[in-house]
Amino acid sequence: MTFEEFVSARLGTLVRYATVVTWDPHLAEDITQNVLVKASARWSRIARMSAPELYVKRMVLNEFLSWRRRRAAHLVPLDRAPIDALAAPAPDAIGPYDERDAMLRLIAALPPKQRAVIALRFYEDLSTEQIADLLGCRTVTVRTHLSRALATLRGAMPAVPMITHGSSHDRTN
Amino acid sequence: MTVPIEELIRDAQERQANRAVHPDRIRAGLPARRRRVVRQRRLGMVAVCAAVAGAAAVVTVPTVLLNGHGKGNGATVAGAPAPSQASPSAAAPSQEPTPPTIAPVPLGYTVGSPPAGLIERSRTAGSGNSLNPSLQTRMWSAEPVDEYGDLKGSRLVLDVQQTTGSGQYSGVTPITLGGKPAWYDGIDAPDKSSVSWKPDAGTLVTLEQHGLNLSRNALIGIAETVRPDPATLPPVVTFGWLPGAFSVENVDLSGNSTGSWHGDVGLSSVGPDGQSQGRSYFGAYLSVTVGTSSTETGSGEPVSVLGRTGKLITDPATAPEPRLTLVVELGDGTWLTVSAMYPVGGTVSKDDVLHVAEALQLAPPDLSWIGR
Repeated sequence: MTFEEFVSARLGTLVRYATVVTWDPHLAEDITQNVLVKASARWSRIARMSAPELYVKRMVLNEFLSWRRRRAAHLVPLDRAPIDALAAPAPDAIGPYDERDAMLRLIAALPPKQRAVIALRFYEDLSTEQIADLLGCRTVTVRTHLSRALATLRGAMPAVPMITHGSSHDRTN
Repeated sequence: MTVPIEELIRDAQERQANRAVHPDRIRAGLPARRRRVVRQRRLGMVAVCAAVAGAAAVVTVPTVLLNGHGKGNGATVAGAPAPSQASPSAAAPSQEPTPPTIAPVPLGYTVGSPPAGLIERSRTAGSGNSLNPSLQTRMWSAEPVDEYGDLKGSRLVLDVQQTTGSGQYSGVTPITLGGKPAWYDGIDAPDKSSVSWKPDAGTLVTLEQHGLNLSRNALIGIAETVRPDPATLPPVVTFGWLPGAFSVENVDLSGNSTGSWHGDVGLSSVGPDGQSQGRSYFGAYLSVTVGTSSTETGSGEPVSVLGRTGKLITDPATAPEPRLTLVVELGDGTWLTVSAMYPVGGTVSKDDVLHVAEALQLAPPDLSWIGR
């Protein structure tokens, strides 16, 4: 697969992934462009890998976390208006929509690494072992990030039921 | 609580994913990102990131392929591009090349009425990104370009690119411009906003403001003054010899006045498959800058070139792309800078750099537009 073929086939998926990891569409755009420039420079090597897309996603992750380190930022600003536009409350389901609104804001407020971990865990459906491999850390570290993120989210949304099952890959608790 | 937390998380992530910018917007931004990388490469600031360089299709920017004219018959070998032959003299080519020509690049369009106080300071044509093989950019600003030709402050940017793609992506607002469909992107307004339209099926024009705090109507009003322009961007040099097969990646000219300007031509090596190697680690990158100053202020080995004494700077700190830079003052307040970056395993020798310089033909730059 050439670089152009990869971009044609996977750019949409890649930018959605970056948007979930960063929780900021504009930062995701910036990071995706940076990563594509870098990936194209070493594509001959990446293309020979067994999972080129996974490698590029790892690059997105690293770019995001290093970007965060460089700027020492902890929160991603999230405008209220876009959230409202995305989650306009329906008259007959106010409760669920409020919770969904709240979840958008709560995830935005998570520390970057925790947000990245829940992106990999729930959006990408990766196992904790796979996440550990992507992040270059131990599985226990991933579990720590995951449990802290879930605890934060649960704590901010009292009475939310505990997760009783993991994904198809593993369990989270 | 009415919904399990895992479902809430997945739902939030899915909705967040739906906020992603359209892939076409990412593609559209790649040439600009590439330009930045190329500039960084020129400065030797990026050690491990090769520029995204052009491959096959070159629509409006002429590509000079020197196959058969350069050392090694133009067959640059991946991993060992253009291995240098120790030339006894910089002025003695191992093969007599046919001097390549780079035709002036048509710019296509200009802004009829930029905001008061803004003057044109930069013109760039880049062929390097095969995802978007043709792009011409003109920039107007109140603030001066820096010594590298970069505009970092508020500016008005006119991009003209050859593409069959649309200027429409999620988040943009369809508008009408001169009776034709256009798209306004105010996602980052007022800091940054743009208007895009297609004057014909194969051309996308984008007018973008950075930091000018222009309202939507103000930007659209300026876009309405954009008109065809016969102006071209000629390269400031033509090459008489190159150490192998190279393709043109970018042609730039920028400045603040006729007494302060820089012109640049960037090239990437071409592999045996005829493709630019600028996107690989194996490719060499060559940049020639002519201007009223040189940004290369480091000390170097004195060398005799073009009948003058210049300096040759070896910068191993940019590994894996070591860099050789030749700087010489041409005597009329004009400086020539020739910079070669090449991968480990391949070399562009000092003699090669001197040879490139000796064989250059300098063209009087068209500075008539700077400051207008």
